[in-house]
Amino acid sequence: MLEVEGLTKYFSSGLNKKRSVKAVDGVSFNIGKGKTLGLVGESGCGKTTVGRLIMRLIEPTAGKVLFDGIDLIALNRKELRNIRPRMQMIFQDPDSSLDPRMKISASIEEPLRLHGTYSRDEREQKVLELVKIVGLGPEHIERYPYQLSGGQNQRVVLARIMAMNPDLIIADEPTSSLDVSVQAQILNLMKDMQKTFNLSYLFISHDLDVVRIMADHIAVMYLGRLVEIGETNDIFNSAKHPYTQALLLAATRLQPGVGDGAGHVKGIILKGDTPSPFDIPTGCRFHMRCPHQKDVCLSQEPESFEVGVGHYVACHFV
Amino acid sequence: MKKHNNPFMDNIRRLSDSRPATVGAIIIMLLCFIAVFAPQLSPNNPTTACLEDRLISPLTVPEYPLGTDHLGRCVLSRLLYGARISLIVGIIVVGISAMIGIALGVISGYYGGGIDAVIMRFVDATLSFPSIFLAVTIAGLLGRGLPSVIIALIVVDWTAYARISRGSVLSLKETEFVESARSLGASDCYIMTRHILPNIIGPVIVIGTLGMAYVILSAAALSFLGFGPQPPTPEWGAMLNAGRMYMRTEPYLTIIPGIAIMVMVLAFNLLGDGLRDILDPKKTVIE
Repeated sequence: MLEVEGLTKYFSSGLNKKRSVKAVDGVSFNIGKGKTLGLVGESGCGKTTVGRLIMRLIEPTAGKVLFDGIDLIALNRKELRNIRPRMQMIFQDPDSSLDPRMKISASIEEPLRLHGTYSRDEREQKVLELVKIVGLGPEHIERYPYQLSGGQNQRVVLARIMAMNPDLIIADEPTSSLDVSVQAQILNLMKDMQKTFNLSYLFISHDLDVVRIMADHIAVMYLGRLVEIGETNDIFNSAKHPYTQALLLAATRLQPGVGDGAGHVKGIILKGDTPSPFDIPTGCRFHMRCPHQKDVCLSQEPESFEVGVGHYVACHFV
Repeated sequence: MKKHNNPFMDNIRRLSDSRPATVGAIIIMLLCFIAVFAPQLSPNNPTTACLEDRLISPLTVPEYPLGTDHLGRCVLSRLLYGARISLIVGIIVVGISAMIGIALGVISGYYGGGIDAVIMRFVDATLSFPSIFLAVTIAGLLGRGLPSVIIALIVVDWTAYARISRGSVLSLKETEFVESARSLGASDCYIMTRHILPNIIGPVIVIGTLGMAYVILSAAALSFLGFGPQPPTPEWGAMLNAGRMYMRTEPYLTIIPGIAIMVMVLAFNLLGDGLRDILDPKKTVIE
């Protein structure tokens, strides 16, 4: 369905081209039809950039994005416009994802007006259907975004996206600005929609609990690189990379009572901050914060290799 | 508080909560009424000179409520007709400047890069001259008359709209709803007209209202300096200039048009400030 190969984005700042931010550096993964890949990592690690690169909202420096075998990076503007309806993006803040000057009905209708050849009545009919799918009522559509709650607006965003009949949805922290109770509703809605319409998700999040519910596979990102990727169960029960272990530990430490698999993760507590992406450490990017650091970590960047079925880790000591 | 289902009505209601803005709006409506019905309201023909009745003081003769000028023309009639010219100049200049400025500002902000650099350097160059000096130069080059005043003021005025709309576009184009429209496959033209324009209209209305005040004042200044409509056209700035000669003996000839200019400018400033307050997104969020 979606294959990402060696995706790379350097942002150069100002006149000094050498001083570039390596936001995304050689990221590769696959997402199958009807599957969800969870992309996790600390803030600033490049998760969001990956999503935007796949959508080609920004242009990658290098790499391939194959969508059903079509290389999106090679498409020209017109071809891109034709294929864009099939992949859609959900953003973090639902309130700013909708035009504040457009009524809800107009926002949901917009994709139908831009694509497809619906008549006015058909569009109105379709809007009502879509609103129903996402669990809103006809009473909501004549309002403006500021008159709805964050959760309701995120439902509107979903309705708008479903109007396009997409195959792939890139969800960039779709619930992190919502209340916990509303979060659950939106996540359930997304899961239901996935089942009904056989959608694929790239689910970007920093919240491991949320990813665990949603994802079939998890990719862990650190400073622009994937350090570990594998099935959700493998990641939660037998994480190999010290960074993944540290993330899991950090998440479980906050809820001492949790008794299932995640409760006895071995690992370390991360110290210090993520190094600046302006000058990424030589060798393994994680070596400064890694307890198992050896000489080889300073000089050689670890290759990613398979430790189990579909479970890849990039570390010298696994 | 009851929520209207219409942001426009909402804004009208909030505007009426602000007393200065309400006063400004009422004065402006009154001035528009005067301008439209000047022929019906005027007691005399504003351009008919009657040298026998020259320099009559206000409130002395019922035929000339505000007296007459040095050529015996009715000051009140000239004042009422003068409102027409000031408002028309203001509307034309602000309207055309805003259209040019918004178009260039939106393009500049949306595309960035080379186009942006060219347009903005042009704006900087225009702004580097004192505006009234630039207007005087252009009006001087084009010759006397109302059209040259209008053109001169447009040349000076459009930059404000270009700057404000460019700034708004720069922040808007990064917003998620614009990105989401792009990912729906919308064209640049569609995004600019359907998503960006409606969202920059707020600040532009504020600048436009305050700009009316500035344009009316500048137009009066240019007329005062003799670049504006030529005699016997009734224009407030020109009336001021004509009255200048008689300032010692007949001060009302300068005071009356002066007050008229002040009231009109003040009204637009009051309304503009009120609009700025209610259209300020931060205040909207608090409510």
